[in-house]
Amino acid sequence: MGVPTLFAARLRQHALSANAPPAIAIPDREFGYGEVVEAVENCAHWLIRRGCVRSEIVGITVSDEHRHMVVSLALLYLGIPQVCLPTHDPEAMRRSLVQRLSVRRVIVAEPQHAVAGTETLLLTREILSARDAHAAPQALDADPDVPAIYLTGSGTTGEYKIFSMSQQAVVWRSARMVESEAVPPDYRVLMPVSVEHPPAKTKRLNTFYLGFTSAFQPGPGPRIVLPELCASLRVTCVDMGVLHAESAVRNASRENRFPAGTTVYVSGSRVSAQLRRAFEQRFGKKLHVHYGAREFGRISTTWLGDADDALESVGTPAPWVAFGIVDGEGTALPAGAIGELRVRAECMSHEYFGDPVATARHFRDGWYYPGDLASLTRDGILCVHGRADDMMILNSIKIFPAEIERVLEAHPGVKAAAAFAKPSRAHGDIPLAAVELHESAAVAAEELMACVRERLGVRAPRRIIVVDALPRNAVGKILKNELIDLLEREG
Amino acid sequence: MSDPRSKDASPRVAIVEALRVGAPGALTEETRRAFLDTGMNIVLAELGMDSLGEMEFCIAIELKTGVTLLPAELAELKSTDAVERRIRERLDEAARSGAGTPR
Repeated sequence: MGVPTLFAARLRQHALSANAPPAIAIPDREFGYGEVVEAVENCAHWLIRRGCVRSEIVGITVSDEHRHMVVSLALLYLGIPQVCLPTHDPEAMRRSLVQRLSVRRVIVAEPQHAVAGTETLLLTREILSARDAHAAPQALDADPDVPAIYLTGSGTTGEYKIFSMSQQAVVWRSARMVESEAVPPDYRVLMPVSVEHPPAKTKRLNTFYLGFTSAFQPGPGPRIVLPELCASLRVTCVDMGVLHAESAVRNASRENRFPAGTTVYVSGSRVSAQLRRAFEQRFGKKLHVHYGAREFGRISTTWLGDADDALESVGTPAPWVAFGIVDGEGTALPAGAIGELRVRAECMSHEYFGDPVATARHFRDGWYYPGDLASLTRDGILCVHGRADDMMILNSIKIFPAEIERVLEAHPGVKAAAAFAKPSRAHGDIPLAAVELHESAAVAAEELMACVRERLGVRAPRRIIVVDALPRNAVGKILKNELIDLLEREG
Repeated sequence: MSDPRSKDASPRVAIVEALRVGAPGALTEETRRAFLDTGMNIVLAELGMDSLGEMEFCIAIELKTGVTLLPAELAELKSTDAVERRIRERLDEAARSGAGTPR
């Protein structure tokens, strides 16, 4: 039997297979693909009865992983486009997405998440278990190449950038996941990041498509300890953000270790040399850094032998990724030179929905420009030096935030650092930095200034502020705009 | 020399701090104290600031007061008193125009 490009056919294939592993593992319970497909089909019936059609995008505001994935799969099953309107966003942001995408129906698990001006479809647990007398929905005629999921792009401030993925694109990424992670047959993946975050959702979809096991976290309750959860759910792969990795390092103990067969991937934002070192000291050589973009998928991964932790490298680009490091005119730069990264692959996105300005900035001449500054070592290893938008030009001197952050984080008292610019009419960008210290550390900003000045000279930040905690989003990305606001308030 | 008590100390604090980065080592602790306590005027040329030092001085002034000074202006201003007057003028202009950031 061939490999279908539609989720409906593929899920049924898994459900009928005698060798399929469980689809979902939660503490004390596993769900087979047969059970999941039944819930998906029940949900699909309900969606049809509630008037959902292929010509209209349906919103999902459900934070519970299990229910979110079932309803998401049901929409894919039916070929009805979907968009996640995250519960963690204020209603105004969800309403903005609703308006931009002309969403008329929103599926919620909690009535308070209803969005004004839309029809609310309340998804109860009973809906997923209510058998329907009608035959399973005929969903095998969906077009695999039309937009199936609308996702929000990277970017920590302002309006979301929206892009879409077809079922075909999800399937393509699934196949690349198998190649890039050397996925074993007993693959079980745990993602501690909420399913409402686009990378977490696409990875879960990939796992379902491939017929592997998604390990879900228990619902609200006592704080979970990741290594413990991995051991109890027999997880072979954890894909997490920097915050979770930091927390695993902090809570590490002799008893609290990741199982021997568990591989850990960290992605979502810069993975500092300090974190890589600390993780290796606590757990051994387990951590791999994934670098990619929501709009594009995986670009590179660090493996043993191609990771230079001091340089905070992000590994060798995957074989299916065409890439280049170019200057402002699009001319390729030699090894070692820092320029803007551009990438190209078979099934990447090509535009932002309803946003020609962002499309023109990031999608040019068939390339996707993630907006990152990067360089390539002579051995072909990629190093990322921060966002192109974050690059500072102080009186014609180019300064990269990452170089400042690395020097500050090399200080034993500094836990994390963020460099950013204060715009100046006369000088361009004045580099500044904020640092978060280790709990027991008592380091004055003046000491850090002297240290960084000695290492970076004219490229050093002109002011360093010590903060209790750097402001971060849910996946651990530092919100630099908030630091600029903080500095303005401090005067 | 005018009475230092009539002066708002903050531009002077900004200037002495900016001199610390613009002309490192040029001011002794005693001179710094005298500058703040007695309203002492310092001739910029005597500090031996090079172009990089002038840039650092101007950046520090901008960060501490919000007033933009150009390195080229320093040649015209010549002394710390003149720099202080320029900063105050720009702060006053900004206050009059209601602009948040002085220029």
